Formats: sequence, C-alpha cells, structure tokens
Amino acid sequence: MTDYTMRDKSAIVGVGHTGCTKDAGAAPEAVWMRAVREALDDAGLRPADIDGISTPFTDTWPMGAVPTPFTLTESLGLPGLRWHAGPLGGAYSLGSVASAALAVSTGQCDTALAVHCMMRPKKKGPTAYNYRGAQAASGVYAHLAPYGYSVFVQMMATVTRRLLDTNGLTREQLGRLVVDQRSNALRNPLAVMKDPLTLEQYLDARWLAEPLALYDADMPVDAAIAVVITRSDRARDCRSRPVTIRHVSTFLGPRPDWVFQADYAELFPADLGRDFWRRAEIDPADLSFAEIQDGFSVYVPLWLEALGIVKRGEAGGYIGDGNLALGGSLPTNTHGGNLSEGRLQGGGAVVEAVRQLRGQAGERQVDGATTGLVTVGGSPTVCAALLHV
Amino acid sequence: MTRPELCRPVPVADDASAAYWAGAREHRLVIMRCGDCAFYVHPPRAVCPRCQQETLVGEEVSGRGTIYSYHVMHLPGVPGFTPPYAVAVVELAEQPGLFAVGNVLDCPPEEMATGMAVRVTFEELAGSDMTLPQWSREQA
Ligand SMILES: [Zn+2]
Repeated sequence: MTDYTMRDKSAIVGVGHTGCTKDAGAAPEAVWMRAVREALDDAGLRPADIDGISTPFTDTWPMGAVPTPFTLTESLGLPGLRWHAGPLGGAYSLGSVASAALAVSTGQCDTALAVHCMMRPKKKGPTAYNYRGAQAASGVYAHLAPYGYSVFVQMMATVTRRLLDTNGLTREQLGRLVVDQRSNALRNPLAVMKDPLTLEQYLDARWLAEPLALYDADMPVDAAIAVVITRSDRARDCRSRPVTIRHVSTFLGPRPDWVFQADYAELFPADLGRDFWRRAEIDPADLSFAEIQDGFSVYVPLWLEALGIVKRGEAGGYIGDGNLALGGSLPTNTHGGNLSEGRLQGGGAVVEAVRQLRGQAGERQVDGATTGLVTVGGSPTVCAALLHV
Repeated sequence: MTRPELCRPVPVADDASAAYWAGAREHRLVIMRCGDCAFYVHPPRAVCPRCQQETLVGEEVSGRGTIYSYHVMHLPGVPGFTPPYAVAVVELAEQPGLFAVGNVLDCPPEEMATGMAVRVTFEELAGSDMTLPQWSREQA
C-alpha cells in the first residue's frame, strides 16, 4: 500500500445548508453566515476554533454575493487566519473542501471552514445568463461569438448532441435521470423544486439549446453551504459523527472552452477516473451512493464513463435501467442534484454525502451507507472526493 | 439608436490569428500549421502544442469538412442573433479532431445532422472590415 499523506487524516465534522429558495430575502453575508453558524453548531465548535478558510473565490476586494477568506474572517470576528486558499482544482464547492482537507492533513491548519454561496442575479441584463462574448470577441471567443455561440448552455448542448448521435445516449435516458432526481428532491426539505415531474413533462419542455431543454439545466437559487473540516484525531471530540475524507483528486483538462477538444465523449477526464480509484483504494462497486454535480443533466453520464463506473457508451443504458434511482444499484444525487435541489455548484452534493453517511438523510436515506463519492465540475476543472464512515 | 451590447460580435484579430483573418478576407480558409511537425492547430495560437516550436504558419486548406456536432439555440439574448438558429462544430478534412465553429448558411436548423458534409463559404460581417469563414452544404 502506498502511503498517500492525506489518506483518512481529515474528517468533516460539521455541515450547514440554508436550503434553496428563489429569493432568500437577505443580504449575501447573512445567507452564508446562516450556513456557517449551522456548521459550527453541528460540529460543536466556536469561531475561535477555526484557523483556516477556503472559498471558491479569493479576491481581496468586496465581491458582493461571494464569500472569501477575508470577508469570512471579518464576519467571524477572527484576528487573522493561519491558512487560507481557493478551491483545489478550481472546483468551487468541493474544491474548497478538498483544499481544506489537504491543509488539515499536512499541518497547515487544524480546523478549516469551507463556504460556498450562490445568489440569483436580481436584475435582468440585456444578454442571456452566462453570456461570455464581449461585443468585440477576442481570443477563442473570436471563433465562437460571431457565430452566435457564447452561452454556456450552448457548449453543453453541442456535447450532448454528439453523445446522442454517437455514444449510445437517448433523451429518454436523460429524462429518466432528471425525473428520478426530482423524486429525490421531493424527499429533501432543502430543495427548491417541490412538484413532481413526469417523463412526458421532461420531453415536452421548451428547448434552451436543443437537444437540452428546460429540465436539463440546473435551477438558479439563493443558498449557501458551509463545511467544517478537522484532523481525524480531533474529530471524535466533536458533537456530530465524523465523516472521514479518504482521498481527493483533481484534474485539469486540456482546453478551457469545451468546444475545440477533440473527443466529446471524453470531455470529462478519464485519466482522473483511472487514477482516482487506485489512490482511494476503493473499487467503484463498493460505493453506497454517488453525488455527481449536475450543472446540466449530461454531466452525469459523462462522469459515469470518465470514472469507469460504466464503460464508454454504456452510461445511457445504465441510467435508463434505473440504476441511479433510490433503491437502484448506485443511488445518485439523492438530494435532487443541482437540477432539482438547486444550483449550488455541488455544494448541496457535499452536504448530502455527509448526511447520508451519518444516516441523517430522512426519507431518502440509502440503507447502510458507508462509502460515498462526490464529484464537482467538468472539464477543464474538476474535483472528486471519496468520503466514508 | 443601436445598443452596442445587442450588436453581433466582431472578431478581433491578434498576432496569432492575423493570417487566419487575412485569409478569410481573400475568401481562403487559412489554418495554422506547424512547420516542424506538420500539425494543424485551430483556433490559432503562437506555439505548436505538439512540438512546442514557434513555427506555426498559415496554410490554405481544402475547405471541406463534416459536422462533428451542433446545437439549435432557442434562447434569446445572444447579441445579433434571432432564435432559433443552429451552430455547427465542423471537423476539417485535414486532421481528426481539427474543429472550426460556424453556421451552415443554406441549412435550416431542422435539417442539421451530425456527419453532414459541408464546404467553406465566406460572409462579410456588416459594419466591419472582417470576413467570417462560414459553411454551406456539400452538393452531392
Ligand atoms: Zn509542431
């Protein structure tokens, strides 16, 4: 056995989640501090116990709806911090937890706080959500924006079209995934979506960018999560049952743009998959569940194949057979995912994995859950983590 | 009054892409190719990603390709475009995985298909001195 330094040396001892709403009706700082207070209380810790902070963004100037180590240090009334950083692998929520796990495992700090907050844009601009082309299109966008190709959903639609036409995926299989996740969300009081969804409703929904329609895209919300990570030798002194971090892996894809990469069926990093299980020393068959960040529905089949959970071209059939539903062979996005719990860029997935492993997932509990996978992001920046109890 | 944020984006040439855009103005599809290892690179860049040499030069290619993938945009809000409209990723005949993005000007969105053969054409971009490489269906 190789001695990977971080193996099982850190644990999640506190989680907080505000729940997802269309309008939190509060200032961003108030929203993320609700999650922070809950996470500290869950761990039985005080602000003074925190000596490290990681967040998806680390700019030093005020960023509005975005918590940073600086704004959090102020909010917590701390005189300063031993350690702070951005997300490992650039992977937002899980990447921040992973940074903290590395720092705690290697003695950079003892107890770290990872925070992520999403707030819906409150003003409608003249351009589409996530519009990336300036009116003068430069760099790679000089080869995209003049053709009307400049919104993120278009990139994922083009990837999906390729998978539908050449990689054994169908719209009905994606629909099964979305519908199963919606039924999970109905068992999750934190989820923004409260109504059932049928396959017919999924297939009849209006197009965003064909072949992606309304229910293929995640749901923008106001919400925040917070996670407390500490040394495993201290974790048992905390109030709640610790969840051990076995391993985290990141991967940087070869291109930043999701367009000019040669093989769309391997847009997500198969290299990460091959490496991840070896380093985690866990077989995919041993997973109790998976929480796969689903910014769009198509992320899930891409991740299943990249991680080698199924072979290339087989994710669609695996999903269509109901394997990802509660009670299936690999319950996935048991909280509803970004699609139906809300767009927390995987933050909800981290909290859900912890609650599943503690047996706190209520009506959606996976019986006897001991080992969980969390993945966040897609090529180019991704992070995967293996948690267990 | 024209609202600049609603105008169709005009591409900006840079040092790496100057030959590409100059070729387009002459209605030639010019793709950067490595003088050392003969690898084609698009979008243009300064250094060959296969052999790391600064020997990329523009070379006119056949202008033939097939649609690798595409989508049909239905959302409003992309400046200068009225949905629904299709955008294609074209795999150029010269090299597997060598992609260019464009619109197939003579193909309605519902007739777009992965694997369809296309040939380069050119569109003068109104209100600018730029010419866009574009695509049309290959005549059988
Ligand atoms: Zn070369």
